[in-house]
Amino acid sequence: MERPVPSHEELKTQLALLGVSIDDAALPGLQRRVAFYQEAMNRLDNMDFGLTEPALVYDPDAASGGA
Amino acid sequence: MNEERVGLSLTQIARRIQTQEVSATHALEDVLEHVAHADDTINAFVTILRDQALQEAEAADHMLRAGHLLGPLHGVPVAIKDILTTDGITTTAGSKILADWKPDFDATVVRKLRQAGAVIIGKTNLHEFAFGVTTENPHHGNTRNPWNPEHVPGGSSGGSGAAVAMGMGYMAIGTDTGGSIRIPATLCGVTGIKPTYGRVSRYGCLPLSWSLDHVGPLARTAEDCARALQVLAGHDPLDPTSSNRPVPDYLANINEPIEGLTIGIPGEPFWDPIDPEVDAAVRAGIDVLKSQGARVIDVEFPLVDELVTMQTSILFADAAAYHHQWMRERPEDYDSRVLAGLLQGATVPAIDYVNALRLRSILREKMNDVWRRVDLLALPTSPVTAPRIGHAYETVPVGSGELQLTRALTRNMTPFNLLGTPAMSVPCGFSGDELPIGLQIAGRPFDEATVLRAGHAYQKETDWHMWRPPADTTP
Repeated sequence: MERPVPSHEELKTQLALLGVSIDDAALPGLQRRVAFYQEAMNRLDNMDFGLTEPALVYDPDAASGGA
Repeated sequence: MNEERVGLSLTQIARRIQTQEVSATHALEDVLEHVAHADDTINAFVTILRDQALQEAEAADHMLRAGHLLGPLHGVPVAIKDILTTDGITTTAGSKILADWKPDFDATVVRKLRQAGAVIIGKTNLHEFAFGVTTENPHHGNTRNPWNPEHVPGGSSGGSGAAVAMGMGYMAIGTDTGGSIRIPATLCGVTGIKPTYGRVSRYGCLPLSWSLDHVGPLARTAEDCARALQVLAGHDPLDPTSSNRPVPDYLANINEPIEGLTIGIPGEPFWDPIDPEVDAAVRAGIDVLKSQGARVIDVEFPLVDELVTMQTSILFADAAAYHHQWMRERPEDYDSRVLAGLLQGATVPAIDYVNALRLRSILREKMNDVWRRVDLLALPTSPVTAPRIGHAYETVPVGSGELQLTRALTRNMTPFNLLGTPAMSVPCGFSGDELPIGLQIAGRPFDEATVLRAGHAYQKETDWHMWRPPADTTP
């Protein structure tokens, strides 16, 4: 199932759940941004990470593959 | 004002000050006079610290006469991006929200610069909260490109790039989350390096994305950047994300030939679409490296189609998290485009954020295969030259295709923020309408030394880095 583009109301509700409001005039622009993102995420959603891919690390030396 | 002196490199002016061929005070006065003359147009600075800087310069001269050298940047006028805290001095982050904020502590990089003897001339303008690539700023005014004031200097460290290009400081600190040191470096015709993630402390740096932020210098040359990075790099107990890895001597081998190094050229999408003049200049730059004995091979960059989406998920969500309270309480005080980005970040699902981080780990693993074959990567810093102010969000024909210009500016940046690996932009030519073009050189994690060595080798054979904007000839 492909990701949908949220409606203006859905975006307002999503932000309201975070306590954030948005001007109605800003909704079309946000919807365009999210639509672009959703289309890109449709491709990523099919990515096979594998069952044993590396765990998340938070390590300042992670760029070198570990201390 | 000594016009010749403001065009010197940091390395050159530092030497002249240390040998007392020129006093720190005179070096500073040259720069301040230049700022007074040019910054009404260029608007590189939010805050100019004239009186304080003069006191620091006079103190530097006094110490030198007494035979005391503070450090390698003794008496050198430098600038600080206004996203880094300065004790008792306004730190606006280019925003209205922090327009009057005076922190009571220096960022670690500021403290290190002072300890090395640098004289801080001011705080440079930036894209609001570093969340943009043009330094068009509704609160503090647009910064203009010194090569053509109708064009943007890039961002978010646009003020830093413009200041160095105009001779309003011999080095300026920037930050880079999605290209914000390298974009101004390439668009303003100066050198700038984003070091390895964690190489330079971020204590006192207001975050855009904790996962992707880097702090680094912009200056005229790679050698200058090496001198600056030598001061800035190192573990900081105040920044738990700073690396414990020892800092090498970046200058020790900087003059070694690059013969025998292998340079990988990543393919699409880094080269297409691209302005044909940019393509030609960057390829000519790579030919210079080849002529010096470097071996050049084509390489495939892993997960190329996923890079931008990964970056968006991580960067935008991090930014929204940081700005959540202000978004709730003061949305009207943001630039509308910055707010739009933050609102988008607030809609990124947690699953996407987590998966982007998982992919990032996989990207790092896959890059090890590339680093086994090459020592460096070389590619265009940006596929386009500086857009016009007010037109940077347009989609325009470029080369064989079309590009939305702000996305174009970040296209070749993203991988090195995600990977956290060092990447530097050096000037490599000019377009037909006299706008700068940059060559990006990237290296292995914590191998800034090889990146700087290659940049220095390139700059020994070329002189693009010493060119100065036409407006820079005013007395």
